[in-house]
Amino acid sequence: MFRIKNLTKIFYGGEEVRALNDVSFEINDGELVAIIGKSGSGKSTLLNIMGLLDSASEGGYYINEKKASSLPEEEKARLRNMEIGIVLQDFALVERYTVSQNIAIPLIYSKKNLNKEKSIRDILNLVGLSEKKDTPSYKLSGGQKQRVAIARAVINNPSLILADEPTGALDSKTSEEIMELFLKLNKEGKTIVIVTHDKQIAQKCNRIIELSDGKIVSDTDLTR
Amino acid sequence: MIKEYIKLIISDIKADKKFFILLTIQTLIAFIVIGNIIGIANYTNDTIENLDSFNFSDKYYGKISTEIYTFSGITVTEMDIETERKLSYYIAENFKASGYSHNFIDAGENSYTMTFVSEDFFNIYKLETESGRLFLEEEYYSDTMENTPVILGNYYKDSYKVGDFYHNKYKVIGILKDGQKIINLAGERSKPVSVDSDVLFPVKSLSCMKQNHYEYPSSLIYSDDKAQLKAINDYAEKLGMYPFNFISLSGTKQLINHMSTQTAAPLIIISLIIITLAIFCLIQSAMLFIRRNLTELLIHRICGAKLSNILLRVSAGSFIVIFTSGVVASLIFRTVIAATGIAITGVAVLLITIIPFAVKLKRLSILSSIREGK
Repeated sequence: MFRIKNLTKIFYGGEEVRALNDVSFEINDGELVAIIGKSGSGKSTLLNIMGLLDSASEGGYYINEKKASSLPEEEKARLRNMEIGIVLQDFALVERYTVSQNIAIPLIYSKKNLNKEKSIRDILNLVGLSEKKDTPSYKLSGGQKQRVAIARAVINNPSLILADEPTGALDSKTSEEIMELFLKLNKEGKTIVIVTHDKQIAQKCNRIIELSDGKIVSDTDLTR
Repeated sequence: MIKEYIKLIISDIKADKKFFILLTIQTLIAFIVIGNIIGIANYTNDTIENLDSFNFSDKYYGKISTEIYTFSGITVTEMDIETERKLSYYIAENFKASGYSHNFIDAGENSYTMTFVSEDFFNIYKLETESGRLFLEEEYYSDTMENTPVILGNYYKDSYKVGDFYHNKYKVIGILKDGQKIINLAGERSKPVSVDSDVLFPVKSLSCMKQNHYEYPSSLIYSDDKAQLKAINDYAEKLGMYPFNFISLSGTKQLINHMSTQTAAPLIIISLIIITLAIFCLIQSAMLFIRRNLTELLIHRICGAKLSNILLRVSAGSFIVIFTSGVVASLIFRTVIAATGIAITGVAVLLITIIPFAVKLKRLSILSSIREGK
């Protein structure tokens, strides 16, 4: 279970900006949650904190009742490697790496005793890119790149997948395919949080949390 | 998965192979200069320690070695033996002289060196025998070369025993212990010299020495009054010899320090320049590497790489450059002190190179940097 408790994030630049203001919610294992909101509503900041890529100014972020937000940087890196998979809008692939090299990045730092070849083969089957194993990433289409990014996010079998606008750079057909992939992973038991401004994408999730000016304005359970 | 990580590092270095080779050569040059500086400092320390280990009173003076003695830009390499002998007799007649004098003897097929020593020679240099004894008081200043006792260096211990006759003439009364040394107060060239192969004779009377054309032991001059030294200088000048510079133990130490500083100062400046340039090159190479691979490094961070993993990758090139040149330089010098000095310099250079990146990478916002990088 993932719990956000009274989370506040303040950016100190020329003037003080409260990107998140006393946000609290819980995400149960196996949920597929969409976080929506306009640009600047704080959804990406929230995702950064949940992905342990940024720290909160106040409040806490708990993974299985363990306060992850106050862990030392080395431990956060371990959690990012083992417990959290992150998918970004612009794929964040190393262009010169092949598909399998990109997918294998988390395995370099993993302490799980996985069979690398088998893990990559299985994951490529899952995302439908078995034929592209040795293709350099720059030769892939947008949809294929996002599949590689998803494959990389799940190779270490994390308990939470965070996706920041995963369909933002894709056409509608490819977006559908990527969402199908997320649904498939969710059915396999993965907890997934998708940050999006696309309401159609959000509607496919079990739950929608809407943010505005750093605050939760609605939290809707679509399964009821 | 360490293997995968090492593969990544190797591919990074291979990409800039030529640059790293040139940088290794540059760093090696810097380390060689540093090794030389350490060698000079070490030599200075050792020499001063050696000087302190002997029983020299500061009232003993030694003349600066004629081999390296320079005056008004003229280097004197060989003094006229006879003239120098005259000077040694003059010193013996007028002042209290001590120490030793070497006399080369050409006796047909066998040539040998006789080292005449004064009474206090053994006290000054704390020499001891392995077998037999030292000279007795009555054995010094004899008027004849007959029945002259001799003490041999340890080198001769398998050829002669106490009681044997050296060159069928001189009775061996003692064999010196192995590894003993003496030192000449000869300015910056002072260094301990082994007596293992020396053949020591007790100094004879002045008339006997003169008669046999042996130089009188005047390597050390005991003097309370510097005017006496001036008198010797004046006499030397009269003989047409270049003036001597006499130097005491403390003067020798000062001269050694002075000469070492003079030699080391330009080397320190050169090494600082080379090291500074090498640091700039290492920083620039690491900076270029980060710029070129920022997105990749941050993606690795997202996927669980620790800051230390990233730093290791960024600094691997610098580490290999410093390590390789350090090992080669240490092998050239083959002394623990030089290797230690080079290692300390290497670690300092590596830290200076890495710390700015460690701070910068730690402060970097991963996601926004990836977006900016794109």
